[in-house]
Amino acid sequence: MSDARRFLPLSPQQFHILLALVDQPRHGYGVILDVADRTGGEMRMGTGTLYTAIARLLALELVADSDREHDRRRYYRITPLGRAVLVAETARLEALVRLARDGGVQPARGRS
Amino acid sequence: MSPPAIPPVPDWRLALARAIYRRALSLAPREGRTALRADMLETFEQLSAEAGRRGTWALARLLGRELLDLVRSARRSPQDDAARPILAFEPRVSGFRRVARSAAPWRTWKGLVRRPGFALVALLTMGAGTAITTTLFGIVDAVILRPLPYPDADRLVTVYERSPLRREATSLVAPGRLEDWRRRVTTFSNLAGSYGESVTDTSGADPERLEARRVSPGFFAVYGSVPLAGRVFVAEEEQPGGPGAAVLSEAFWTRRFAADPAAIGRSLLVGGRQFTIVGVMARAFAGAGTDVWLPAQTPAGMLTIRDARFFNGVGRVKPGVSLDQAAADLAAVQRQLGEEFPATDKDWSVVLTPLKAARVGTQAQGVWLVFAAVVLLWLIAVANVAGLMLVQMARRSRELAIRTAIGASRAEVVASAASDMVVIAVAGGAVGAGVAAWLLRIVPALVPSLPRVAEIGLDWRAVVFASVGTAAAAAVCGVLPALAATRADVAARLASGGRGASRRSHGLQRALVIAQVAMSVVLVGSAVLLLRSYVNLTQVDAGFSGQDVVTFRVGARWDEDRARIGQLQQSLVTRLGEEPGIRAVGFTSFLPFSQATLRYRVTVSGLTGPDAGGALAVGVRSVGGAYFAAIGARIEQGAACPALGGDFKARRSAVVNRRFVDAFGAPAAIIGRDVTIIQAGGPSVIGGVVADIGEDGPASRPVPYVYVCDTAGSWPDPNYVVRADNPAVIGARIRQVVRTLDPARAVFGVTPLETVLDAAVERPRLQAGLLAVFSAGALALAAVGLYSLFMLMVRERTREIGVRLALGATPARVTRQVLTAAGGVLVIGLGAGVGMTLLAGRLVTTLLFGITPYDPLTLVLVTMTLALVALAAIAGPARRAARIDPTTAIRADS
Repeated sequence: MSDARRFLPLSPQQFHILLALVDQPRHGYGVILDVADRTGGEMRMGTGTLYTAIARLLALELVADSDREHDRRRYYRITPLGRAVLVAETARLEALVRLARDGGVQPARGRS
Repeated sequence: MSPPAIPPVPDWRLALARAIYRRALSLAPREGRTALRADMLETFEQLSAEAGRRGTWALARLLGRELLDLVRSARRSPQDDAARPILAFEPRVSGFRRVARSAAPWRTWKGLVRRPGFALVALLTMGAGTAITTTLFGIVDAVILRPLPYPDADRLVTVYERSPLRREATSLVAPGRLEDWRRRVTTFSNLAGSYGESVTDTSGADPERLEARRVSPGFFAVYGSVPLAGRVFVAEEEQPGGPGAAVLSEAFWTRRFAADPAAIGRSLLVGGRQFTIVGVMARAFAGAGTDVWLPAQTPAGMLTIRDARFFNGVGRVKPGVSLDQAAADLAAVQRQLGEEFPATDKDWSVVLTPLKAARVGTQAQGVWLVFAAVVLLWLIAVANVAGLMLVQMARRSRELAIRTAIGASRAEVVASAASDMVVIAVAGGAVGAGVAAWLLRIVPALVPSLPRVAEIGLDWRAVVFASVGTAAAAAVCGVLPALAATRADVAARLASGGRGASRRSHGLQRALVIAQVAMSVVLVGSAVLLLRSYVNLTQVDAGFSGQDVVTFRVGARWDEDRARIGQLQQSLVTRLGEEPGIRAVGFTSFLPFSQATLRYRVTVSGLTGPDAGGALAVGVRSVGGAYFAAIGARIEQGAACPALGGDFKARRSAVVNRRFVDAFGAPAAIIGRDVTIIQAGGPSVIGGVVADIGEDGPASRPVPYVYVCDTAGSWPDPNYVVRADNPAVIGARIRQVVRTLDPARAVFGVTPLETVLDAAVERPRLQAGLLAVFSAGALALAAVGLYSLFMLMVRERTREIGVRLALGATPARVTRQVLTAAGGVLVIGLGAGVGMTLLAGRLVTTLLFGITPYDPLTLVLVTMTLALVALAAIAGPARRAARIDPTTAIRADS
């Protein structure tokens, strides 16, 4: 686990890309659609941002190419290390949120 | 997905969007991401297909968003997206800001202060370069490029006659013929004429001589210009016998009336006649030459004299009519006139010239020449600063390599390296533009003979020129060397940094130095040619001498009583001749070199000339008094003019020149024969032969001339010529004598004859002088370029040379190697320069006198000069190489 912490904190883009790949490998267009869908259209990544982040994740080996012979498009899958990093990042965020709550910080309900 | 409500976007829009995206992708490369390029294109295709289904607007929005994202993400540095925390506690510096910060002013300032010599040289070069090129551009723009300052000026033409013999390119127009043309042509909206006249205005405290232009009806309407104040002439004032009216030039209005609007309504007094001031024309309308316009009020009788040609014709071609059509129309009208008036109009034709070409004419070439020289010089200067910059870069190469290695992007390194030069270029450009604005204001005073000089000034085009020039200079001097210095791969440079292994070719700098040498050859070559041509001009034996001679004029009008003027001329010549210290007094209608000549055909009794009907085309001057003695001309045969007579009925005598006698086959007996000017008065008896005088300028071959010893008063306002022991003090005496004879006469133009003659060679002298200055500058710059190139080479090879010396090479051998390398550069540069000079030769041919542009002596001279200068320039680096101490050189790190 200490290995995974080395990569923290993740950028929002990296976080969302890893999250999009958790259930299945996707190609770039799929990632953009999944992230937009998950965030209710709040986050629409441009290809420049997306692939800059993917390049980085590939280099860090948090993401790898997925072989799909029947499709000429390039699919990306999350690696075990990527999965561990995502878990570690989630834990870190949770811890932060708990700290904030304990400190009395409460997001207003019903209007955000 | 639901069926599309909007028709799908046409394929070409999708294709276009994808093409743009693909282009942007190549323009915004990003380390790491490049491998994913194909996938990115794929994804964009899907995104665009989806957006395309929603319409063109959605597609455009997508493309915009994507492009912005590409650029933004490309600018971020590698570290940024690795650790960009969701909950960031410290602001991150964007890549762009880092680049900007590397070029920040204080860093630049520190860098410049560290190298004050370099900064100063670069700043001076840039400032002076911008100032001079912008000034010259302003002149080129005002004189040549800009249209004349009249509405639709491209439709204005000058109209002249051409004589059957075509001895001259053009002849002035007779008022009657001009009027015929005006009434018969259909392609002109108007035609008018004007002629210059020196008048004396006596409305002020002292008589003042004014340059007037007498204008025919509709003169101002042809130009279409609106007066600055008041109005132009009305029809009544333009008719013979109409009221006297005057339109002032802005310059005269300012000089005499301090630009007071109340001047309109006052009067000038010219020849005892009142001319009411009705308006003022702006300075640009006529330039510096004219003080006042008066209606010509040509009498009806004058219109019937078809051989009295004195109008400068000007016309405005109707819209939609070409110049050729207008010329054909006018030619047809003139052919008609030839049939109606065979005696006077047959074979005369019409010459039409665009007004701009007529105004600027031959001067354009000189202006272009100087402009080209200046631009060439500036290119050399820029190349040189770029060279110096390369030396700086080489000195810093290791530092730059280290900065790259520790993570600075190339853009950051280039920005920090080039920022000095950008700052220098912008500062130099600003200072230069300011100086140019000032220079352009004083140019009219420096070269008043330039056409359209009143229109010169700093306008937006000159500012754009200066800005573009500055930007180009900054790019060439700053960014290019910086790019060159950061191109080589880091590891290699870190490894070699300053070590002996470095054997970079310095291709860019070598090319710059070769170009400098070549351009110097062109400039120095042209300067030497023009100088030698100028010397040739001044050494021509013109057949007279201007030394100790003063010329002046006395205001007189052509419509005055001739007998009265004649009396004045007689008394003036006699009284001045009696003055102590004055050796000879005479006058002539036109001075030598004055570019003014009347040309006629003459016959000589008992002899047959070479032209049709045994006639001979000649130039004619009216002279009187001891004119030939006054200008120091040699009478070869017979006698000069007799004493000035006042009887208009008496038989006149004439003096002819040597060329005239030769044209008739050099008969032994020429004295005593009658010479008759066809269509211009009765015969004169030839009394003497004078050695050829270079009447038409030092560069022209003498042509036959007849000097008519005229009756006093027949030429009312000649140029008086006085030869005196002490010419400096003679002006005051002349004024005194004229005042005692007639206090209402203005004496003007009191000038040493040498000054007048000098004016004829002013242009060649100016051109030669300017080019000489420029070529000296070019030589100096080329020397600096050679010096810095070889200093750099020696510096970089210090270790290598040290090793060779340690292994037993002699210093002489090392020196020889440096010289050989320099010799290569020099030979290529000289060769290219000589080639360019030969090619450019045709452009300067017409500016040269007594020398061809392919003059071998000049080329040898120039090549030798450059070789000597180059040798001096590389002596330093060569000596340095020979003095390298092997032990320190080998140990040194850089």
